[in-house]
Amino acid sequence: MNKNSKNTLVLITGLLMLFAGCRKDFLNTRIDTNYTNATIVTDRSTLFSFAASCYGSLQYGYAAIDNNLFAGVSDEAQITSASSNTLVFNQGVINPNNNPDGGLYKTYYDGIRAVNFFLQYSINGNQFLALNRDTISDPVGFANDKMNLAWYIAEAHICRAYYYAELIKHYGGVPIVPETYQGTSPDSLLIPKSPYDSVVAYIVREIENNKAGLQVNWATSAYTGNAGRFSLGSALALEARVLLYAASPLHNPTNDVTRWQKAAAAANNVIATAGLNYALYTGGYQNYFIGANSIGSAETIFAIRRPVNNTIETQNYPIATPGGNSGVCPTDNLVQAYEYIGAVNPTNPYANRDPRLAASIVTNGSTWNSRTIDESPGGTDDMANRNASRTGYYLKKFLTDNLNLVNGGTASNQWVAYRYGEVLLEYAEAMNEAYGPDNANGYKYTARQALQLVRARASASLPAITVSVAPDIASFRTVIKHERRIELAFEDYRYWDLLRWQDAATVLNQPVTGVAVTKVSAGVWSYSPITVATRTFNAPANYYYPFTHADIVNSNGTLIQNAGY
Amino acid sequence: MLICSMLLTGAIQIMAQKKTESKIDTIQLKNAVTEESIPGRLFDLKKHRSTAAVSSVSGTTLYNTPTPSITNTLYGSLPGLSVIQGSGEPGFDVASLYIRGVGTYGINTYKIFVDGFEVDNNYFNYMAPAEIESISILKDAASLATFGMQGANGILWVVTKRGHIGKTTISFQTRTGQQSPINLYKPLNAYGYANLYNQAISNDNGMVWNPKYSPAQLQAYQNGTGTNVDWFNQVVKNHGAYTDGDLSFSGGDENAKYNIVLDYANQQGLYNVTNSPVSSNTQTSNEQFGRYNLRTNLDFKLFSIFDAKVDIGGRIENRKAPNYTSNFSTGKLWSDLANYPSNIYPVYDTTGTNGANTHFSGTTVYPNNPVGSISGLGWESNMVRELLGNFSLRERLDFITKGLYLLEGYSYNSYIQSTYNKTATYARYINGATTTTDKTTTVVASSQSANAQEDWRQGFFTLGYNRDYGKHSIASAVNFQNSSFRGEGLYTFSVNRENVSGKVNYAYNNRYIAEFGFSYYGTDAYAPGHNWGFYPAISGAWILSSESFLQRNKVVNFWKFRASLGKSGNADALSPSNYASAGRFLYQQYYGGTTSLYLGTTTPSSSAGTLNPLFIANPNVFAESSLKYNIGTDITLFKNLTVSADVFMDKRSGILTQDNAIPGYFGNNVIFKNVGKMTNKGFELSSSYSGKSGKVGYGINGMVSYAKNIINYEDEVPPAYGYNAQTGRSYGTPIGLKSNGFYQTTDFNANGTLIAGLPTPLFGAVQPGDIKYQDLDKNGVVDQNDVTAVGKPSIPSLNYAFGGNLNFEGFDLSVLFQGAGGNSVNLLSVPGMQGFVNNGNAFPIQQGAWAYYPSQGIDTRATATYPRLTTLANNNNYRTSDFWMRKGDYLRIRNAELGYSFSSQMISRMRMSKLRLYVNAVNPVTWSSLLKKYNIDPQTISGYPALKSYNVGIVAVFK
Repeated sequence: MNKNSKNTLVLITGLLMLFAGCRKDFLNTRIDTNYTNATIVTDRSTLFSFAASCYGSLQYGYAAIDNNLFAGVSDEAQITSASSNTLVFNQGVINPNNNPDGGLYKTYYDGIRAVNFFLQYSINGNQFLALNRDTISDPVGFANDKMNLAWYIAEAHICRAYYYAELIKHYGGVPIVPETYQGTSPDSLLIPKSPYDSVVAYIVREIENNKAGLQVNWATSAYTGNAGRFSLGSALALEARVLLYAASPLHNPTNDVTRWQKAAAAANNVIATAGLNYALYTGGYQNYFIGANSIGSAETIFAIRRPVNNTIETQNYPIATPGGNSGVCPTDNLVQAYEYIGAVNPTNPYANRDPRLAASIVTNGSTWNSRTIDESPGGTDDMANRNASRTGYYLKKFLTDNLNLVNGGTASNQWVAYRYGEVLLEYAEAMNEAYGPDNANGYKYTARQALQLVRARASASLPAITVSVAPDIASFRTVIKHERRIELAFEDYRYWDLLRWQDAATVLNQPVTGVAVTKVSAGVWSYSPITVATRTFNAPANYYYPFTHADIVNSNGTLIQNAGY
Repeated sequence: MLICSMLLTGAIQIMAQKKTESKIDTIQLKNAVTEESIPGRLFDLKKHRSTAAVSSVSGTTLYNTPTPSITNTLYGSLPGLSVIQGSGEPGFDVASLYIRGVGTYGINTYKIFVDGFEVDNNYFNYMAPAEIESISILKDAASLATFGMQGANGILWVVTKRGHIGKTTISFQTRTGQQSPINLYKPLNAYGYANLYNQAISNDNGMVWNPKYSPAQLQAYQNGTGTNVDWFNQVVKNHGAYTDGDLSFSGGDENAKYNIVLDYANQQGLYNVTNSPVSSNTQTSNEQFGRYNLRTNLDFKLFSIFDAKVDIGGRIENRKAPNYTSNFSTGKLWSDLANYPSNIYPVYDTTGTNGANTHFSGTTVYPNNPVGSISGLGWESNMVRELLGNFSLRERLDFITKGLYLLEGYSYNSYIQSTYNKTATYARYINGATTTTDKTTTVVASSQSANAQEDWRQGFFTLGYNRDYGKHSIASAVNFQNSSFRGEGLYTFSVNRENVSGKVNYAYNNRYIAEFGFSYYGTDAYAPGHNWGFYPAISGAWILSSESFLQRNKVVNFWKFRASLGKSGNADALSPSNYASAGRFLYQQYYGGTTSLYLGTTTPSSSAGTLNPLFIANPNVFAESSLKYNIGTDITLFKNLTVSADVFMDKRSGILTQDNAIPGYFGNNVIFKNVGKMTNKGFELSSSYSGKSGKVGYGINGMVSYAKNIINYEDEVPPAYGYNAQTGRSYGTPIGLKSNGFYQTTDFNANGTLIAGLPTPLFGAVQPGDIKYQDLDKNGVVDQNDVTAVGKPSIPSLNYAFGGNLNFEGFDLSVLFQGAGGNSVNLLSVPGMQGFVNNGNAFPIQQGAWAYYPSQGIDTRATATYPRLTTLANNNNYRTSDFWMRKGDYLRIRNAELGYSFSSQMISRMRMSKLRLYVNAVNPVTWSSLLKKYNIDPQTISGYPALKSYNVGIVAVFK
């Protein structure tokens, strides 16, 4: 038995050794081919990658809805396709379960999360930049990186302010998220929304506290390659716009004139701050928007950039042009608003008009895509053709003419988010409301002068708005509204202007009209008005987007839905 | 580890040599009674001792269906297994299997074990029935307990044939036959197409008659002078040959047994093109599949202490197909066959070629001439090599205590796939001129690559104890197994698992049985420290027929009740779309570059790289767990009638799901949590009866199985209304709009707008003949908030089979029917259902379209069964709704066989113990409403059709 028990012992130890022979890390097979929390801190270039991702949520305005401009939502244009997402807006049926633009909420908060993360990550940024490099023998590289990081940090604050500005424009009051949440339990993250004015104050505070760290103007600095980043000029332009919207009737029911004054001061900062040197483009109103002219001009304050493409042309060339899809078709409501600068021509209603009409809109009888547009029955662009414009007009602004879409021809299409011309109009509006049309309050221009700058650039033959034409605040306000409608057509201002002026209840409930074209003789057509579509706008609910049903449910009562939904 | 085992075996050898006992056991633990044994992971049990729900089928039964893939032989043979037919494409005809329906909305695949080691689908799908002893499905907690995180979706347990004690038998079987499609869903001819096209184009013209084809052209199509090509006839032959054969040697004595199987199968496809030899210039190939299997299973005794097993199974699979047609590449040929109208062009363009067929026709709209696709594009071939080598040693440790044994095993599985591609192109001509930029080229060898390499090693160590003490009987074992898989792919480069499991089965007086099993399972998919799970199961059985009141009963020979309850796990799961890792490594936070930032001055030429989290890490991510309840009974009555029934419930929890309950200000990040819940319930009932009446022997069998699931919690995005939700419904329930007939002309005002009171659909402009939908939330618009359940899931909930066999004087006849029901087929997934949209084709179903042209004598308003035809995209009509749902019920004769076995006197002179000739039919008849009404096969809706075949075969056994 003794031997057997010894053998049993051998057996058992053998068994144990077998078990022990297995590797302890046998179950650790993960291969990290992406960055992890441990590896991002070993490579200092991740600092700049996280900084760049703060810009990730900027929206390309040429693909705002249905991969096209946002203009179809307002009375500026009618989208040709019968099943577009603008239909939800046009019919006033937007609701918590049906909002084609509802993804913007998450997208902007994604950007805010990226900013919060970057700001947290870059707290020890300068030590991080010293990693793996000899700062004594390469002082220039190190100094450049530190300077770049300082700019990025300031710009990140501006990015965040921009995203909040966009959110409040769409939704009114929204939750302010103070830091990045990594946790797995969402219950601690239920943040109620802050009122509109609090968010405005937050935005202004962010800009004011960080504008000193920004590059003044990339175009005139030694770092022109960074022109796509925020600068002092774009931060001030953002502040001016936010304050203007906060002063508008929708958010300023008591018409508190101090808000208008703040807005005017902010707009003046863009005009007058040393080093910014913005000036209106002198090569012609139409040319400013085409190709790379905008980003090479001193009028552009901030543009959202993309590589060359032909998205906007493919979407909006007339259907008769190979590759075109007629998308955004300007309405006769807008065309009627362009003023006459000469005598009315009975055979051609588009002659002698504000030249911005010909620069923005393709009218019947004009030359476009290498042909004369003839929309009469049997013509090249017969309106009876499937997917031809239903209003009688096609979009011209932004579009490079004669692109060969079938062969994949592309053009530079940069979306200008802030430009000097619009700042001047903001200035004029704020100054008018704050001080009246002719009081400069010590600033460089009066409201009237600022307006005149814009009109003069559009055409020398546009008559000035004299005191006799618009003597007081109310009449000048009408003039400003008109000028914004014309100058900023299709640039994604009209819908938001109508909302903030609370004019949408009347204007967006009127039907959109077009013209039916009949040929009289060669080169001569007659036009009769037609109703293209009815529009519905449910004030006051539709002044803001609804929060999605999912968000209201997920917030467990913390997030209150906007009124009217 | 090697040193340890050598030490161990050395120690045992020394001890064993001391013993004087040389009693020879059989290798398996069995009673003297030759009773059916129920397979289990650690040990097999005799049927009367098993508490588990397991169904088995023998390899001989599976052999009855001549088909290359073993998955297609499993129809109607295992209660609880649903087999969904795939396509019939040679080499790609694997059927989808579900054990007890669908239990999770995550990853629902079962695991496969061959001879106790895990293998994957690649190995299992083309095993030969001749090398298989039995296939079982392990369904309930008692049988699945020891599998840990692999068991939740059921296990397919395969046992291969082993040798027997006795003289060597050589068995040779072969059969050959012709396969043809069960049906072809063919479009209308040129006349039918043109006639309906005129309607469609007029519908798009504001319902003003504006035909494209004049009456003269229609007349030409009718009398044969117009272009009218039946593409199916041109491309698809009616027959493809199938041959298979196997030779096996089996025999042995008490010291060594062997079973060697050599198997061969070859299947030719249905394409109307020859297999030109490799050396010829034309280089075309029919689709074909060939496989060669070799298996050698040896059992032998080593040094009179060890019982060793060495199993080597290898396989070569060769696939070849014309480029462009098959599942290798895009598989677009079958959608072209459906969508290319018959009147577009003749097959060959004979302008300028003096009648020779050297120029293929083609246009820019229809560039892929189907005949050109099979003969002008070259071919691709693909070779798979599989090798599975299993080794195990068993030592009886009776000298320590009687009934103790030790078992060690090791498995090595290797898989290699390589492809070889010869491509060519052809120029497309119309009227002598080329229409596209393609040129005609000869075949060039264009690519050769090793596509996949996998290497799988597993080892286990079992300590077992079986003992009978009078009325008590124990069978138990403890096992440690680990598995290391190395394959392709970023996330599956290395997959390592460890499993400590055990089972104890205690039986008292052959009457009361209790069993406890467990598995402590560790996986590499989860965070270290969080990656082990414990999965216990208890079960019991009561053999009623051993009780005194039933012991001498003449009617009830055997009656057992059994019940089991236990937990099982599933480590595979869904994962984020940008990190498709099957649920692995989600505990680790990763950052990746997603968007670009454009900074340039005049033109944006430079982009700064960005980094964003790919998903939000969840350190607590874990496997889903399945709580399984099962109650069953097995009865044998009258010695000949056996009945088996099971009722089960499977409660899944912790299904890895994207958390849609996080607020919107988390941005676009996703986080996956184990929050999903699902319940699956059902039953299985099977019975068989065999008997003999005079000289006629007969048997009947039947089975029914049913499984229905409900998603209890899916964390879906909160829907607008309860009826929109997927939660609370079965997995795969189609959610769509409810239809309400067609719009009539009276529903519209003169200017084309809808009359007041009718809801506006937001999907597009509508006109008379379009489908009208119900506005369920009554808000005046029909949009995505008006969707609800409109049909049943696509996987059938009910499966049944019945069959019988008869034998008389050497003749034998058998037949197996199999059917399924409780599923819906969405007609929109049938190719060509949208008609002329996107330059498509017209099918007989479109002849029921709504049309109203009184001037042409066309008025189908009252009898229409299909919306008005159109050539434009139409978002309103072609969307999921109850209008397009049909029942997918069917009943098929799966196989029928008639054979004759020569009597033993006649053949014993030739040294044969068996010679049998037979004829056999596979899938000869199908009854289905889809097939009858629309000529659509209820299971293979698109692509290469499923096949039926008629075969003749011979079985010869030499002794």
